[in-house]
Amino acid sequence: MEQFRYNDSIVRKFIIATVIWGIVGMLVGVVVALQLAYWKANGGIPWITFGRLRPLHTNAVIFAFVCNAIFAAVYYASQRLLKARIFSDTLATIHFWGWQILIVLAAITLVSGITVSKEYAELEWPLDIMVAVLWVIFAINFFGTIWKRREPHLYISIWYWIATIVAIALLHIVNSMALPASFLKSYSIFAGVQDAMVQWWYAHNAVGFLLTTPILGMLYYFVPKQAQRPIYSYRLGIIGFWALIFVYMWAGPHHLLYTALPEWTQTLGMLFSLMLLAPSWASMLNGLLTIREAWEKLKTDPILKFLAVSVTFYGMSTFEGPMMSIKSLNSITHYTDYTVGHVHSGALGWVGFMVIASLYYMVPRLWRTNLYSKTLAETHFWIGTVGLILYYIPIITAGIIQSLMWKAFDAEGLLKYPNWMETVEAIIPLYWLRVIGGSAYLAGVVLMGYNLYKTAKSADKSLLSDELAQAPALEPNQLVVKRGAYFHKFIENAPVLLTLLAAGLVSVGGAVQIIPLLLPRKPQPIFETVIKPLTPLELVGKDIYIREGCYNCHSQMVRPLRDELVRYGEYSRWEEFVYDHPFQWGSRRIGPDLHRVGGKYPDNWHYLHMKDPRAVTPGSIMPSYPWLLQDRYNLKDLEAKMRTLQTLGVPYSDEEIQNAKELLRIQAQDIANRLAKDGHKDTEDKEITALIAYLQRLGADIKNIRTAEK
Amino acid sequence: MNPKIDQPREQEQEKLDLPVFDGDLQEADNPIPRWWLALFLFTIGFSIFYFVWFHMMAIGPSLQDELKIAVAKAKLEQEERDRLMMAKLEATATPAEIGAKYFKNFCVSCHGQEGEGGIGPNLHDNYWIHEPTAASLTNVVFNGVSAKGMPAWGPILGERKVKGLVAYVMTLKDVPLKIPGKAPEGKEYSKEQLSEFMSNTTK
Ligand code: HEC
Ligand code: HEC
Repeated sequence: MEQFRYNDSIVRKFIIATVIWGIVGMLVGVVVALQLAYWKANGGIPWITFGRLRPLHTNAVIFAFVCNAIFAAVYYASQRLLKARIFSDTLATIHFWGWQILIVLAAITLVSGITVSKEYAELEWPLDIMVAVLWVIFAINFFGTIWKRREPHLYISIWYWIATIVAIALLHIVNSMALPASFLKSYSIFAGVQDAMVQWWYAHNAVGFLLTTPILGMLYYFVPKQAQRPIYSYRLGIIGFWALIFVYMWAGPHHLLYTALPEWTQTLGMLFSLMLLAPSWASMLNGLLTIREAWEKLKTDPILKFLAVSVTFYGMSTFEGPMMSIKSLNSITHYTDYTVGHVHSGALGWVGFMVIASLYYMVPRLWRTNLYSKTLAETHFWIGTVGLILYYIPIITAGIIQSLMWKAFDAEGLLKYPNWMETVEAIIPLYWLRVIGGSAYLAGVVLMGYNLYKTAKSADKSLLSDELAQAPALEPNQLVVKRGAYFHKFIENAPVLLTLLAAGLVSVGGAVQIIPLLLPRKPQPIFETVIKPLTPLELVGKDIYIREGCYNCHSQMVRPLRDELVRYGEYSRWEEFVYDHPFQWGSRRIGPDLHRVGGKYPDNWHYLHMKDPRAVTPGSIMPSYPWLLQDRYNLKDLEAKMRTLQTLGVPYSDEEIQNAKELLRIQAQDIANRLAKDGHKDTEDKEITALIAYLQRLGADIKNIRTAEK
Repeated sequence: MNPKIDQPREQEQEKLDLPVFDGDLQEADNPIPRWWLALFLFTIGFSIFYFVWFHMMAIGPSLQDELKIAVAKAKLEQEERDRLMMAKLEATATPAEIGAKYFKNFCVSCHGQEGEGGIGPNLHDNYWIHEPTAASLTNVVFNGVSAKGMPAWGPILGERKVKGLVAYVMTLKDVPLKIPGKAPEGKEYSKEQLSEFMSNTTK
């Protein structure tokens, strides 16, 4: 027998961070929800307008709240499952503090508008590198612990965490590939349709490998622990694992149905999403059938209640997801709040409740005391569940209502609701309900924070040393698989093999879908001559568009659907985006699509609209951007930016780059002259002018080409 | 429920060689539910069929094909409706009333709540940029003046509403403005001229 101690203090640190960031991230969530119901909630402060705050919310809950929770659970459970102390305490400490510093830097940059505008991967390149380094540190520590283990077999939770580490590394690195133009500005090396494919391959699988696989690892640990019953089926677990990690990686294109992505790729995305249903349900079954064994306990045990609801929501959202991937249904749900509802049933229900359950489980054990109040935990469960439902039901309803309004034609064959704001006003009451639901959920988490704080306070300090454990050293003969045992045991005893297999399986989907898009493609002749890169002024405008996060409310992708042709104009073609680094297709239409907005309104309209949208569109919920009218645009890095884009294949000539400032001035003066006629003086060097130039250019290149469909 | 799961732990473990982790963590060896397997195989089979049908054999319509069908169908319906509508319009409607409703929805952002002007010109005064006949104004509203920032409304609202809007705009000259209007633009016409220009259409 060997004696050793688990490193519990690092787990405690990650737990504290989880609770704090959880409250912060959800609070920001409530604020952005409020801003949609009541736009003035941004207080007129640029840093917290919707376009900047929404990425802060998503990043905070994913990378601050959930990641810290994953790190806590992985460090807690893997030491115990492997019967070994963490590989390196120093690396763990660096991992912890590095991650917290990263979160703070991320928050500062995001609210300052320093972003690459790729959803859930908004951080600029220096922070991307920091993420990668910290992830590698985590990986070394995790695999090092496996290496030091005293347990021959790897438990199923460990498989899921291995897949997580491998897949996230792959996703993060590929999707972050960008060329820096300056210290805090870079451009994605991918353009348009490629960039969209890479981004949604990433984003879908970030859901898969940050919000699913690590949480499944937690399910397989905390459910049987708390239920005190064995996992229902070992074999179901195995097939579920391998099928899930393979199939998941193919489903990304379901975010791009009806877009300019090649149709066969879209179809793959839809079909693999359907095939994902059964593998997802494998773990749901394993979870629920295990909990069913402890039915009696469920009545009195709040932790088990959280686990049961969590697994139920996992089952629900993994059913809903495949349904939303069916093309015809997706044409209704996409770009609406339905997607937002779907995400939150997974995030608040599945992930949130699993994390909460794990915290209630770990804290009393780590602080060697009893939970301060079971009643409070029970209250938390009910407030949380009610909040969850009050969030989910109104917001999917809002999605369906709005979508049907967008698509409705009247008896005369014209759009029934051509005025966008009618479709927004119809759902504002539901936005208020969401605010209430979200606040309730947050209140529950605050309650938990209090409960856990009191629990930790009540701990006897002298007992807080690391937990002592003992196990025999691992002998090589223990790794030999017994005759007649399942073949899979062989893989379970061989971490290197398991890791390589997982790495191989997760690489296939992305490769098949992304590589063909990187090969040269010939545009249709009619597009070849008309598609031109942005002018210097328009480029400056696009960077402002990115900085303000307009893509959080506006798509730039008109789908080939009749109502969209009538509402917006010609549907978008891939050829139009070949110079679009990064792409701006967006994922949610809180405001209308902007891909054909170029030339739709006079410059003056945009000027007045950006100053205060309500001046031209009564009732608009778009933020006012008065600072764009006063601030001068920054030309410091203009040439460097154009040169970076040139390197990436945008056909700027050297001459154009040299004369960039001059070209820019001419165009700016032209717009300023027009604005001056309407009484807006001295605008030639203001940000608004650049933004107007960009908006007026959107989709304009092919506006006059009449295509066969018309 | 499979009876195995209720057997004492130690026995089960020995028989199956399923190890115990972290003191008490275990997995039972219940079989995979049949319906689960059926579901999985069905989705795989369906996917193969679908891909072959739509992409390898290209029998199912592409998204572009579907769009073409939808647009063609809508066009036919539209033509039919227009025929019926024109007949009805002659008999019943007061276009100006319809126009008033749509004006509030689509025009006030540029022409002001009362038509007093803003981004677009004042519609109450005697000054007109375009000749103030029904035909000419219908043309302006239908096709827009994109260089000056007047959108084309024909494709969005259709002929009937555009006619109604023009009829409504023409009534504005007789409605006194209670708020200050935008400075005049275009050419001045006398009251008589305007009445004459506009008379042959308003009802
Ligand atoms: C909170 C979500 C939100 C954000 C952020 C937002 N918008 Fe909007 N936007 C809307 C809504 C809602 C409308 C429709 C009502 C209106 O016209 O204001 C709209 C309308 C527009 C329109 C008119 C489109 C049309 O076809 O009528 C433009 C142009 C526009 N926004 C540009 C921008 C730009 C540029 C930014 C970033 C600086 C931005 N928006 C940020 C919500 C938003
Ligand atoms: C985006 C701003 C905008 C909107 C919205 C708009 N207009 Fe205009 N409108 C203009 C501008 C600018 C002009 C001046 C055109 C010119 O100088 O030729 C104009 C001119 C006109 C004229 C001709 C006036 C004259 O003096 O000859 C009429 C009539 C008119 N608009 C009707 C409408 C109607 C009806 C609607 C609603 C369906 C509408 N407009 C919506 C901007 C707008």
